[in-house]
Amino acid sequence: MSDDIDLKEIERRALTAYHEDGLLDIFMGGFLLFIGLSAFTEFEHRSILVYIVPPLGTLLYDRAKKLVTYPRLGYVRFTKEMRARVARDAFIVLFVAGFVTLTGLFTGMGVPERAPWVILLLNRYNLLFQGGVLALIFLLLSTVMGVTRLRLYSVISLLVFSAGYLYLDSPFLVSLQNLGAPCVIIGTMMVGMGAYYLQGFLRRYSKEA
Amino acid sequence: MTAPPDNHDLPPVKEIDRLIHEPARLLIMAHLYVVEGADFLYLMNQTGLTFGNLSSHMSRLEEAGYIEVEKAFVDKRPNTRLRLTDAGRRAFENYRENMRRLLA
Repeated sequence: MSDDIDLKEIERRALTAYHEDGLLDIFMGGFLLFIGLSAFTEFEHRSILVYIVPPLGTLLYDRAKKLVTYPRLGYVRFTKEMRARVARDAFIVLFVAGFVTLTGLFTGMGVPERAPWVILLLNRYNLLFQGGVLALIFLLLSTVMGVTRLRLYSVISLLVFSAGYLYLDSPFLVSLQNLGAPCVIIGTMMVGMGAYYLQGFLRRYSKEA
Repeated sequence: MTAPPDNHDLPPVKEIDRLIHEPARLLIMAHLYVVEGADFLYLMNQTGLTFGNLSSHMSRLEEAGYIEVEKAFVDKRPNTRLRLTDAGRRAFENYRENMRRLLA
């Protein structure tokens, strides 16, 4: 019966089906692991890697999707309206994430004592702020992509960064070492969770004969 | 005795498109309605229909002109792509509207 068919739900499932493979978790977790681990290294040109790794990761993610997901799940072409909506939402998420991250980084570096109170506050609680930024990014991504488990990462980010704020030796200044440990912990959790989802996906969908 | 309700607005049952009304075909039409196109494997996974079942319903819908089937090769593998035609899209919308009026 037509009343039993929820087209919105079918549309949502079509979008989320492609993230059942856990590859998103593995690649995002891998990026956090990279940031975390690189914080502990003495590699001189570390900052250059930050520009190379995201596009390289995106290419690898795309390749992995073509190798793992599409041959098992099949291929769907979304409507122009839906593609435009997803692109617009992704742009908003990237813009917000970029803006807030840069704010966090700038206020985390030493600020003059007479800086406005907001900047002083952000500087004082920078590690908490970074955790909040990561949590916000996961929350926004979860809303845009309809992947509810990203909300779990949002909560984990808040908890891990709060723990970092409480237990690290000098949590008040944003040093790479301070960011490193929480990123390694969250990244490892995400890669592990992604691997769990991936093996479930491979078991559920056999490759097209 | 109370007068029977005025049923002039109800679509006669015979106006319900029986081709779409069949549950498996309704599911196929609904899945194709929300996207621009999809391949056979995607529909099989999303609808839970078997290969043979989906194949026979696909043929019925194609004969009625509701869907368009395109066979191609992707990475040297055969790939069957399906999309709703304009007539199929209209028929699905009419079907939903008729059912809504009938069940309201």
